[in-house]
Amino acid sequence: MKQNSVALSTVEVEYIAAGACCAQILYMKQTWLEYGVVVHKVPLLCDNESAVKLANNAVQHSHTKHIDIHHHFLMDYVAKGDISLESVGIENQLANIFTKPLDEARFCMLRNELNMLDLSNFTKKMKLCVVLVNRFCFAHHAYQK
Amino acid sequence: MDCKPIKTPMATNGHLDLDEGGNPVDKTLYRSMIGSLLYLTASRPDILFSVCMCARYQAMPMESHLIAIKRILRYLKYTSFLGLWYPKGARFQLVGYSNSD
Repeated sequence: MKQNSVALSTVEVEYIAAGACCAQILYMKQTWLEYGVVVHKVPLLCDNESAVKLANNAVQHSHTKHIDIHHHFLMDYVAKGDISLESVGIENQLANIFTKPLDEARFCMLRNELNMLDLSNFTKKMKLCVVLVNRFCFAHHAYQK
Repeated sequence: MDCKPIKTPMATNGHLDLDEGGNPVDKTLYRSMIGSLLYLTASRPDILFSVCMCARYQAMPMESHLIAIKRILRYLKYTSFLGLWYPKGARFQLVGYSNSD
């Protein structure tokens, strides 16, 4: 993405990045709606707590009052309940694999989180595994209802 | 290919630079390697960052950039069994992760 302004703080950077991500999520929601899948409060995980607080609580602050108004559309969608901005620890930030080179341990851990599987022995064992995962998800879903 | 396998696609300290004093390499070869790797990112998102990093230098590729690409190929050799799989009937949920760089 082309940078068209210089940010003064990491809060501003993360806030703007979260806004761009929010736009993508809204697009995805819209696409899913055409397939009859309705989702509310899509979690948007951000590793900067100040940015999360800024979006959830619209207060004027001397460090953030210069942020251009069109970046604040994120706030509207958080207030409406379309997305829910949450903070996430740096160790669970999945997006890190796409933004910086990582060491082996972190890289492998995040790669697993992306659900990349070993497809070389694609056997009955794997199918059983999927059945179990699906059952768990179903149970989880039922529990949430 | 009998290359030595490696466990990550890029060195942790490894931000590439323009490397203006380096040895220029064949641009067509470099770009076609980038093209093939970009195609692969659809099923291998783990190499996305390193491929995009190399793709920044295709205007004037140097030997150091080609070495970075070859490291990705070595990584792929080590992990050729990995892939994404979208099973039928799986439940899914939408979660967004946002980060800035």
